[in-house]
Amino acid sequence: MLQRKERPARWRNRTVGSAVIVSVLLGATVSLALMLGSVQVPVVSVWEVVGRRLGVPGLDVSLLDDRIVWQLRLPRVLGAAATGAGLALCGAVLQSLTRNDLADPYLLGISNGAAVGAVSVIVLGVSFAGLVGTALVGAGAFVGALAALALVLTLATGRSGALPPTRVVLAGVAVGQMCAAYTSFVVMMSGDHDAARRVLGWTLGSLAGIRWNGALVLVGLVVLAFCLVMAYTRALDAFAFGEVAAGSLGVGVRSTRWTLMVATAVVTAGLVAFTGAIGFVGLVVPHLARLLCGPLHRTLLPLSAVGGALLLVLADTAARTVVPGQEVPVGVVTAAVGAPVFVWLLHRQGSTA
Amino acid sequence: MNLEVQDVTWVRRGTRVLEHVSASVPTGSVTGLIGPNGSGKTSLLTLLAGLARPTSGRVVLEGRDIGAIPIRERARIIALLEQQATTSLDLTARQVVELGRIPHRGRRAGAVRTADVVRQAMADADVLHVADRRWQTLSGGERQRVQLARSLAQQPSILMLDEPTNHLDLGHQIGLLRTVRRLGITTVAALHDLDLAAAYCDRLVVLDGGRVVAHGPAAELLSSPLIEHTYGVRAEVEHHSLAQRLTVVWHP
Repeated sequence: MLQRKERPARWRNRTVGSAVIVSVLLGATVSLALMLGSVQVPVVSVWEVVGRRLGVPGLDVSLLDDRIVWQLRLPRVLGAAATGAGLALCGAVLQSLTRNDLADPYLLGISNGAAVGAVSVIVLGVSFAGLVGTALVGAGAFVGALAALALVLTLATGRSGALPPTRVVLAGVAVGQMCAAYTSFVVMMSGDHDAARRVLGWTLGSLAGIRWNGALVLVGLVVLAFCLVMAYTRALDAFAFGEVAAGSLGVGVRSTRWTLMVATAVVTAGLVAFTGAIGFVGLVVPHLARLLCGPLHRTLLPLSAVGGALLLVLADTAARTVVPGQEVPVGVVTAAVGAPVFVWLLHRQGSTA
Repeated sequence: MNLEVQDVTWVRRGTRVLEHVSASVPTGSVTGLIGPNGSGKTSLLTLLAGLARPTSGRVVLEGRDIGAIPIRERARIIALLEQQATTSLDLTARQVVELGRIPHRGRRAGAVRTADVVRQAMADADVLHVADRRWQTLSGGERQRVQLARSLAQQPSILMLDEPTNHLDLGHQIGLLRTVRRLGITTVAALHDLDLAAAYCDRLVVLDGGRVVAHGPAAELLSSPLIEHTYGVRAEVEHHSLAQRLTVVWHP
């Protein structure tokens, strides 16, 4: 008789328990994010708006509430959740793949490459085929990120085509510095203060421009990324003791590395095109998730995704409410929260190891 | 499972680490690889485990070129115990052993319960008592035995051991090799301790400078001239009447 793999009851209960906690937390956070802003909307009205739009009959909402909650805040909140989840997911995968605690989604030169593209559009006014403004900056960032990725992969590929992690990290740093030099040079030379301000704002990241189209693209991208990396959970576990061990456990080291590095980089480039380079989410969240659930990827990846979503939704809500009448760049909020957490993690590691 | 190396030469990063090596590993036997540091033992194990391709020559498993076997299938046939396994991750000993089930995941036909296989492997490697301890808190010897349990959890037909007795106390050195013998898995082990090699190996392959300088049954092979030639150490090989085995006595 065939026996199905049985999981211990304790494990199953924990999974169900975590799923419940996570759903409640997500629900509460999203409600909060939809309520708060320059205009406060009561929680009941928030859910009435959402309910009516989802086809629940008999709900009566004001036009203003509908516009604020459904047209402005919800896409932004969904975009933040997807971006946070995506960044944390990519960070977790890259940390495991390179066995480097400092790896983050921008490891392969993505953020600096994207900045080159964005700056070229903002400062030099490169224009292309009817694309204007924000959309063009996003497109420029995406192209720049992919170009940097291609350059890093070319530099990092060993003679055997194996992408050794140390070479990837070093090539990423080198290409990143090159791109940063170009960005600074162009901004300084242009002498255009408004452009310099826009570049700085873009570098720190913002979710302000996200409407329904963008939100749906971001959600779709991250759902795809999630499905892909979840197919690699055991392969990623196998890297715990390095590549020789992974190989002897029947994992295709080279193909796994190429697939996941390119996939996470392209996903990150996609996120950056919409939001700019938001730091610290992809670096810190996987470490926190590992503390909570251990390093096995079957639980680490979903937990990282949820943690990233929660963090970025909260950070973005703070970014648009902390200073009345003005937006703080969301990257500033994530760095302000993320850096101390990272220091605390370091301290903790120092005291246990 | 019969494993054979046919006239293998391997140039690795510009260095010729193995040169015209031929050897065979008969089913059910324990083969010892001996030789000085840098003689090519680990390189030969790497090729035997199918983890790299030789520059010329072939490694053949049951008549098939090892490079032609899908890697997951290969990982269900051959397990490798590395010389030193390190991780910065916070895994428990049991989770490490469970990694050995990765090549079997998702297979239904004749499925056995993962937990049972893992428990048996840990019992065989004498690490059940540390199952819930964290890897980082284990001693060198415990880590080595947990890794052995991980290899056994792969349920391999062939086991590659790279200096498996490193870090182990005398009791566990003997225990490990005795376990391997008892399980009857075809084994290739790189060893430094010639006494252990003589006691637990059916056959020895002696490497020096990437070449096979001698091979054959342990009892016939070990001799003073061989040891002096390979290691540059004067030694006597004699049958110890109390221990009922060959022992190597060296002169400083």
